[in-house]
Amino acid sequence: MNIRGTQMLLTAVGMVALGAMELYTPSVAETSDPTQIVVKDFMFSPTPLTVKAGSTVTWTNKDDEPHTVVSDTGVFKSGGMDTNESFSYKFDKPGTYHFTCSIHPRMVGTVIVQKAHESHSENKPSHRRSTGGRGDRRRSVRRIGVLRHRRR
Amino acid sequence: MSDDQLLKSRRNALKCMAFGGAGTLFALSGGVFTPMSLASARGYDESKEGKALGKPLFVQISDTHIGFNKEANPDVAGTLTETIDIVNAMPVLPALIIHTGDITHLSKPAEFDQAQQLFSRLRTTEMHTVPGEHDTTDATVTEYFNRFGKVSNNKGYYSFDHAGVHFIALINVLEFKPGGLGTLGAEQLAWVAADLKGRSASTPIVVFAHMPLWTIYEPWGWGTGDADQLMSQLRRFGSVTVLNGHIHQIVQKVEGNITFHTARSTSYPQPIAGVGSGPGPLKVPADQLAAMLGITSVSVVKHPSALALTDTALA
Repeated sequence: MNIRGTQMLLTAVGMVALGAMELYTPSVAETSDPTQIVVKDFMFSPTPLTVKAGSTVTWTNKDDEPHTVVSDTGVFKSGGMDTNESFSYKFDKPGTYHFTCSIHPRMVGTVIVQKAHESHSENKPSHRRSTGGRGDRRRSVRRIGVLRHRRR
Repeated sequence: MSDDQLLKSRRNALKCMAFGGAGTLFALSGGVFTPMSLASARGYDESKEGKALGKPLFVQISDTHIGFNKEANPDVAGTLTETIDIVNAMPVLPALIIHTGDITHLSKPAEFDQAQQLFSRLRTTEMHTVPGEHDTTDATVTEYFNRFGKVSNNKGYYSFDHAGVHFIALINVLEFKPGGLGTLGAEQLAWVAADLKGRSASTPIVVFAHMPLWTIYEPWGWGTGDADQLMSQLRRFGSVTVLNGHIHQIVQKVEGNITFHTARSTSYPQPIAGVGSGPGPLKVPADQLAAMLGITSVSVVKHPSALALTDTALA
């Protein structure tokens, strides 16, 4: 993920966490929130997202263009999400869930739901890179102020 | 200058303003576009020039996106109102309005209601619509059909005749394949085949749908996956005009007797294919916006088999 994407993701994660206190755990929210998918620049990230059964995953649209989240098998379907709007779905059953944006069908993503007693694959070092450079996020926190300033 | 002369010149100046800007007039005769002077696009009136334009058949309005309120155009209702003013000011009113979809931004009831309220100002009473993918994002996909579905028995595709021209409205925003383009589907294609069966090849055909019926840019889904099966049915006709919206800019192509044309939006422009991260709203300086929005008018030139397309910008 590029720096800008990481920045947006962090911003989004912060905002969503504040809006949903039951999901907010201060110790991890600073660096990651394993149940959030950000929709930005016509992409879902991270994808795939791995969660435990029983988790509620929230998608938040950070584009000026509306997006939707529609499961390929019809398990879940959001309405049109405008900028900063979110959609949540609770995954009770383990499995692999592919989804797309019905407005922009090139946008595809995956949620992998593991059995509740299994450990999070995200905690394994080998999986870090594929979920969007989680290890880089803490480092990029310091850069955010500079980047924002530059963009204005 | 006498008062009368002054009034006349003022009227002409206003007319120039209404139709001025980046429009280009094309006369379509036997499937070949012939660019004509923009000056003659000013109006369909009793002058020799005006008569040469023929009778205005319809005006295409597209991608009004009522409900959009972001930086690219915080006042989409305002720009639609300006568009309607341009249509209402045409010296000879077109018989029909064709809306090629994305009436609303998020398929919300309030957005549809506002759009219909704005459309009610059109002096042209007959309007034909097809939905865009933004009109069908509600969970039950019922808001559009509750308002515009009657003509198609809630299927989204239908046909009608006007002034010797056969119009076919198609829907290509319901059956998306993940990672793919828009889809017409076997049922709709079979309906088209039945609809065209026995029709004379000299009948001018106008086909309209929201997403382009030819592939303009696949990575952004600017196309319809099974459009080839539609085109093979249309090829035998002498004059086919295919009108789409979706991409918020004019792109044209002529293939045999088939002329493809995408219309500008009345709401906000979009980037040229492949420029930027995706086909989202393009932010332009406020003074450039109006020139990037507009309508397309189609008229019958002299003979019903000849159609002319005119694009008019808001400024």
